[in-house]
Amino acid sequence: MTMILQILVYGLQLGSTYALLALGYSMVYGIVGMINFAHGDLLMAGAYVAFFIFAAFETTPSNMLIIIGVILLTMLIVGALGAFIEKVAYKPLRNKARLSALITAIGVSMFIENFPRALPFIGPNARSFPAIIPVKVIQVGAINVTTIQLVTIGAAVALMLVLYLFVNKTVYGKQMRAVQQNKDASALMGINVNGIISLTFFIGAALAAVSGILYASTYPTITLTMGSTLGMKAFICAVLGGIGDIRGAMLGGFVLGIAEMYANYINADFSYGISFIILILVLILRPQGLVGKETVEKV
Amino acid sequence: MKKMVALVLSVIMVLGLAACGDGGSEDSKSTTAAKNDVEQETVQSDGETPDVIKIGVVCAISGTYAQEGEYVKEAIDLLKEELDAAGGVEWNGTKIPVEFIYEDNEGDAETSVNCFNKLIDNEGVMAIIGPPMSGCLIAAGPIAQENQVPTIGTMTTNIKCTQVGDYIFRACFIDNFQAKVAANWMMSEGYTEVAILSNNADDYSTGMGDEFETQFKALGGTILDRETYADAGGGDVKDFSVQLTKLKNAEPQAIFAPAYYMNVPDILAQATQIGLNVPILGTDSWDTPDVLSLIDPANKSDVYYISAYSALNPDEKVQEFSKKFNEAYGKTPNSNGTFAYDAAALVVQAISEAETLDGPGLRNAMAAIDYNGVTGSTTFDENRNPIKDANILKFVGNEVEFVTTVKASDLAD
Amino acid sequence: MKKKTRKGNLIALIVAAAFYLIVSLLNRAGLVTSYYLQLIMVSCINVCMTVSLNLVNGFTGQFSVGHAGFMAIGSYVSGYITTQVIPAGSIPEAFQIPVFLLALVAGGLVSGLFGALIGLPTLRLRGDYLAIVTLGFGEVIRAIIRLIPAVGGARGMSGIPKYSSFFLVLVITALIVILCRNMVNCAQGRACVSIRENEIAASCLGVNTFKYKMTVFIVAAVMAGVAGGLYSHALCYTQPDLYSFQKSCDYLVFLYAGGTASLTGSVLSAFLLTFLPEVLRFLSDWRMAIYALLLIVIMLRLPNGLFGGREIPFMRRKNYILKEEAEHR
Repeated sequence: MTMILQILVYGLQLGSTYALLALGYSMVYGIVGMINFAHGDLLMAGAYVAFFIFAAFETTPSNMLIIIGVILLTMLIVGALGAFIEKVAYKPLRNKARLSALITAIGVSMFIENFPRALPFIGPNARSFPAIIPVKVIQVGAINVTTIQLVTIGAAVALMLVLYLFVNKTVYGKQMRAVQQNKDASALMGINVNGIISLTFFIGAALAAVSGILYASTYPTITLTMGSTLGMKAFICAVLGGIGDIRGAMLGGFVLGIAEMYANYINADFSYGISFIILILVLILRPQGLVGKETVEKV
Repeated sequence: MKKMVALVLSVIMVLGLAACGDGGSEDSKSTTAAKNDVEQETVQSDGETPDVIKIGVVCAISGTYAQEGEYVKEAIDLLKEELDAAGGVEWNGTKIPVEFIYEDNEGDAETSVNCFNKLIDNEGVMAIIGPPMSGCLIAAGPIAQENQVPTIGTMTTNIKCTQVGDYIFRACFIDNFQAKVAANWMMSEGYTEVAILSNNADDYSTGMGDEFETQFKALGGTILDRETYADAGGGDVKDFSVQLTKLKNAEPQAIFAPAYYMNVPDILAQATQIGLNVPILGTDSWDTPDVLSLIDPANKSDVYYISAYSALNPDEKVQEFSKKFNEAYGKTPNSNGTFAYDAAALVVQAISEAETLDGPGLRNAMAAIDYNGVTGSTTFDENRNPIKDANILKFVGNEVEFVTTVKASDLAD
Repeated sequence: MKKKTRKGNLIALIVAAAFYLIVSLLNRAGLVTSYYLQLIMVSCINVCMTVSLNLVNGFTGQFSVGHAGFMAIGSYVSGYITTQVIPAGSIPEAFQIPVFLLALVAGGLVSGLFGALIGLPTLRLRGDYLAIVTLGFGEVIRAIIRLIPAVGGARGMSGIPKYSSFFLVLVITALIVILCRNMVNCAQGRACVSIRENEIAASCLGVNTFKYKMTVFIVAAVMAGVAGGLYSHALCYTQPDLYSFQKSCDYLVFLYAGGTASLTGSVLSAFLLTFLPEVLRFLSDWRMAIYALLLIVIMLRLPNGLFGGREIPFMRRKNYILKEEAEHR
C-alpha cells in the first residue's frame, strides 16, 4: 500500500512534465491544426538555455528570486524561439497541404537536435543540469516526498491554472478561442490572426521550457535528444485527453505519467511500450480522446 | 517492327544477365585470387619486403563518441612517433616504415562495415586496430575474417567479438571476468547481502548481472533483490525511482549496477533523492571522462567502478606512459587511448616476429605473442582473449581515486 | 496503352542490366572495389525503401514516418531463417539462393502483416494519426527486438550469411521499382492519387478509400521487409539500432529531396544521398544539421522536391496526369 502511494507521487511528478508539454501540442493543434513535431525539442531548448544562463554565474545561485528570474528569462527566450519557428517554417505553408507542414516540422526537429551538436561550444556531449532545487525529503505518513517533487507538481498545477484563466477570462484568450473556431471570421472581426497564432506558439514554447527545467532538475543529465522521446509521449497525452482541448492535455499528461510508473512497478520491460499501447487503444476505442467532442469532418 | 525490337532487346538482356550471372561468381573468385597474388607478389616473392606497412585504425572521429576516438588517435600517433624515430619496424633484418590509416566509424555498426571494406580493399591494410565498441566489431569482424586481415579490438569486452573467427583478437578482458572481479571484491569488502540493478534491453548489462549472481552465490553471498529497467537506446530511460525504491526496501549492503554510462548520473541522482545510501559498484562502461563531469559531487559518495586501466595505478609502466602522454598532449590518458596504444604496439611486435608478412603469418605471430605493455603482459588464450588485471576506482568529488587492483591470477578458480 | 506499359518495363530492365554490366566490368577492371560495390548495394536497398515509402507518402498522401520499423522486421525474420532455421552450413550451395529468396518472402510477408495490423485502426482516421502511430511503431518494434534473446537482443544478430550479391540485389530492386511503376500507372494508382488530392471527394465518387490505403500501405510494408532482408544479408549483421527513427528520417529526406510522386526522383536521390555522406565524411557533425536544413528549404521553396510528379519518359505512361496535379498542388 505504501509502495502504491509512493509510486503515485512519482507518477504525478512525471505527469506534470508530460502535461505541461502536452498543453503546447494541444494549443498549437487547436489553433492551426498541425502537429508540431519540434515541440519536444523546445523542452530540450529550455533545459539548455537555462543550463547556459546558470553556467554564466560563477556558482549556481541559491537566491530563489534569481532562480525564478532565470526561469522567466528562459521562458521568454524559448517562447520567442517557438514563435520564430512558426514564422519562418510553418507560416508559409499554412494554406498548403497539411503534410508539407508536418514534414517541415520533422525537419525543424532534426535541425534543433543536430545544429547545436555541430557548434563548438555546445557539442554532442551530455551536460549535467545544476541542482537549483535543494533536495530535502519530507515524510508524509509512510511515504517520502522530496522538495523537487513538490516544486514540480506545484509549478505545473499553478501554470495550468494560470493558462486556464488566461484562455477563459482574458481578451487574448477569447481571441485565441475565436481563431481556433474560424480564422477567416476572426480576421473579419478585427482579430490579428497572425499575432494570435504567434502568441499561441509563444505560450506553448514557454510552457515547454518550464517543463524542461523541471524535468532536468529531477533527471540532471541533459542531452540534445532528450526532447524527442518526451515529445512523443506528450503528444500521446494530448491525443489521450483529446487533442485541441486544454483540460484534456492536463488530464492526459497525469494519466500517462501515472500509468507509466505503475507499469514500471509491475514490469519494467513493459513500461516503454505502455504509452504506445495506450495510444493505439485510444485511437481504436475513442479517437476523440477522453474529454474531446466527436467532430464531423466538413467538406 | 516494335515487336522485333522488343524481342531483340530482351534476348540481349537475357544473354547479358546470364553472362553476368556467371561473371559475378567468377568475379569474386578472380578478385580474391588476384588479391592473394598481389599479396604474394608484394610481400613474399623473391624475399622482397614491402616499402611500407599499412595498419588501419577504426574509431569514432566524429559524432557522439568523437571524444573517445580522439584519445585513440593521440595514443597511436604517439606510437607512430616512436616507430618513426626507430626507423620503422624491423622484419627479417630490414626496417620497414609503418603507416596508420584512420577511418571514422562514428561509433556506428553499419559505418564500421564500410570502414573495414575501405581499409581492406582500397588501402590494402595488413591489420586493423579497433573499433573500440563491441557492437561495431561484431558487425565488421566477418569482413576482416573473410579477407584474412588480423584485427584487434581495443575495448571490446563482449564475449561474442572474438567468436567471429580466428583473425579477431581483443586487447581487453571480457565481461564475465568483470562480473567475477565484482563478486570477489564485494565479498572481500565484507558485503554479503547485495542487490543488482541491470538493464534488460542490453546484454552487456544482463549478461554481467547473471554472471555476478552466479559468482556471488558461489562465494556464499546472498542476492536480496534484482531490479531491471529496459533502456532501449543508451540513456532513453531516465526514471529509476521505482526500481531504486524497491532496492531500498530490500535493504542490501551494497548494489552492483552494470549500467551504461549515460544512465549513471540519473541513477546516482535519484538514489540520493530517494535516500538510498549504500555503496554502488559499476562496471567499465562508467570509465569515460564524461561520467565524472555529469555527476553532481553530492551524489558521489561511496560509488565505485571497475576499470580495465587507470592512470592512477602506481605500476611503473602505467606511470611512464601517463607521463609520456601528458607531455605530448597535456592530459591524462584514458582506457580507450591506452588500450589502443597497447593494441597497436602488440601488432607491431607481432609483425617483427611474423614468419611471413601476410594475413596468416601475422595472425600466427599474434596468437603466439608474449607482449609486455602498459596494461600488463598479454598472452592470448585459445579464444584470442587476453588475461588482464582489473582496477577498482572510486569517485571522490570531481576526482577519481585508485582503490585497488584485482589480480587475474588471484581469481583463477 | 498496354504495349506502352510493357515497353517501359522492358526499358527499365535494360537500364538495370546495362548498369549491372558496367559495374561488373569496372569491378573486374579493379576500378570498383568491394567497398564501392557494398555502397552500390546499400544504395539499391535504399531505392527499394524510398520507392515503397513514395507509394504511401508520395502517391497516396498518407504520412508514414516509421518505415525503418518494417525494414527491421524483414531483416530480422529473414536473418532468423537463414541463421537459425536453415543455416547456410546445413544445405548445399545450390539451395542457398532459393532459401534466401524464401527468407526474403517470409520477411516481406511478416512485415506486411504488421503493416495490416498498424493500418487497420489508423488508416480509418486522418493522416496525422498515422504519422504518430508509425513513429511509435518504429520505436516499439526496436524495443521489442531488444528483448528477444533468440535474435541476439540489443547486441544484434551476427553471422548472417552473405547471400545478398550485387546481382540479386539489383534484380530485386529493379522488380520492386517496376512493380511500383505499374502500380501507380493503373486504376489503383489513380485511386491513390485521388485520395491524396481530396479524400472526401474521392469517397463521394465511389473510391473505397480505406481499401486502397490499406493495399498501398501493406504493399509498401512488404517491400520494406524485403529490402530489410537484403540489407541484413548484405551487412551480414543486424542490430535494432540500425533501424532507429533516424533511419526513417533518412528515407523521408531521400523521398522529399527526390520529389514526391516521382519514382525517378526516389531512385536518383537514394543513390545520390547514399554516396554523399560517404564523400562528405568530414562534415560529419554538420551532416544532420545540413540534412535538416535541406529538408526545410525543399519543403518551403520546392514543395514537390527535385522531380516532384515528373518522371523520365519510360517510367510513366503517356498523357499521365500526375505532373499537372503535382504542379497544381
